[in-house]
Amino acid sequence: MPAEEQARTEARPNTQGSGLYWARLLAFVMLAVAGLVVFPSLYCAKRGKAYLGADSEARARVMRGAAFQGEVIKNVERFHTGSARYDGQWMLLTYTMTAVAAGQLAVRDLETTSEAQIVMKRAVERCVRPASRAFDADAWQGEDALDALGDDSHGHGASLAYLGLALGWDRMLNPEGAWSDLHDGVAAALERRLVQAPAGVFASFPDEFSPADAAVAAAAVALHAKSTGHVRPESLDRWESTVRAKLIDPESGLLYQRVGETGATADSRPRATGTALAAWVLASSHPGLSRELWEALRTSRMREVIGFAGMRDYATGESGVDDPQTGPTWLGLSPAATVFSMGAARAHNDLRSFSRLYASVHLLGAPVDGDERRNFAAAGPLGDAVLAASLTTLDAGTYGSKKTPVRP
Amino acid sequence: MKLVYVLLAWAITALGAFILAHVVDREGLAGALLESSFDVTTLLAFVALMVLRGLTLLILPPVVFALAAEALVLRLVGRAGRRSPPVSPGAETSSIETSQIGN
Repeated sequence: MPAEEQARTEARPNTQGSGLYWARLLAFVMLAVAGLVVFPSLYCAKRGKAYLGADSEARARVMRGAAFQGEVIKNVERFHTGSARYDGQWMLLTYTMTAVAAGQLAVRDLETTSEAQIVMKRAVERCVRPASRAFDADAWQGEDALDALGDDSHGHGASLAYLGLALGWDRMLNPEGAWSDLHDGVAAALERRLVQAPAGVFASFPDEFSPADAAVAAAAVALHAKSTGHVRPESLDRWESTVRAKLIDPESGLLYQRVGETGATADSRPRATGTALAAWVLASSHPGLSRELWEALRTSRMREVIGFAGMRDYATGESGVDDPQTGPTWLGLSPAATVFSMGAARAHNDLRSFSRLYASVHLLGAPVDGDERRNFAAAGPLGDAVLAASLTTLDAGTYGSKKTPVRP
Repeated sequence: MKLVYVLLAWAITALGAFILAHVVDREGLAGALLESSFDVTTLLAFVALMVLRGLTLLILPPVVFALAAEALVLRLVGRAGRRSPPVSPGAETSSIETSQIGN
């Protein structure tokens, strides 16, 4: 063989070896993609099953985590939303959601009652103190919501609805508790204001009407009836009809985030954050409406990728400015909407959606276990409290009616 | 050997995520991003935690799976190759002869 031809033969690539290399690489990539699709979500979703089972320990741990955050935060300075109003509202919400988690846990898992009572007592004491309503009083020119319970000219929905919910859960556990008279007054004010509101929503702040806050108020009124053994007011059924007629976007089936006094305005947009809160909180008091809201959320806002799910606040292609009240969005997905939706999915026994939403919470929330409590490293005080409330959600249509309310 | 290195990396990232999550929790850095509070320490801690969790729960498990599956397949193929007898020049002839004898 001439030297030139031999050199050409040696320079020719080894096509058989190269083909094997690419085949191996392709097989490796396909296996890795298959592993990515199956394993991470499977592992993360499996962690969520502990909250659904008969064993109360996982639920008790998140309640203790929320209670721990309540002990750590001393005042409104802990929050940095950039708005003093929302710093205050986040603080009140933290205590309210902790009280809700304690109440739900005690009603479902009777063996945790004594511990839940302690958590409840501290959470409600903090809800009731004037500092927790200061953000609301500032918004209403210094008028304290509790001083104006008999005057319905100002709504005070941002504080009163959540206070009513916390007091309701306290009443479930302590029917003759220290806050009974206050609870009666708050529930009566909320019911009157819901009845008087032409669109079923009274003012949360001056000229701000939030259907989600109205939903919390309606749930608080229903919880008052349940905890006191009274008949559920018929006004709640009328309120539900009004909501369907005036506060729900006909296209998406979601609640408007903000409306005017008489209903939707040109600026009203349906969003997942408010709808998810309403779907979760109404699951016990208005299960039909709650299920419709949850189904609308699931079909129009839930996004799934490799077994993980999250909730878009706005429809695909739409966007809006993050507001401190609902927290930020990441890639259009809202942590707040995702967590409340998880509670709604749990209430309506949609375990597939619950697992997928929890998988995202587990991955991005970064749970930290220690001292018999569970906190989520990415969540913070309000996040932990909301997660505790969501993960201890009861079945739809009950406020613990399957078991007798706890009587000390 | 690649599999061992990746398993080692997986263990280190998991340990790092575990420690950092506890530090974030104990130092009260948690939740600051939900409040849109972007101080540098919090941001760095949060990003590091998310990267470590992403590696631990999302990236490395499928890589380990793929490497393990690949190693298993190669071992099975290699074993099958060793079991099959070497092909000698006279083997074909002998089989033909065998068939002829049978006839």
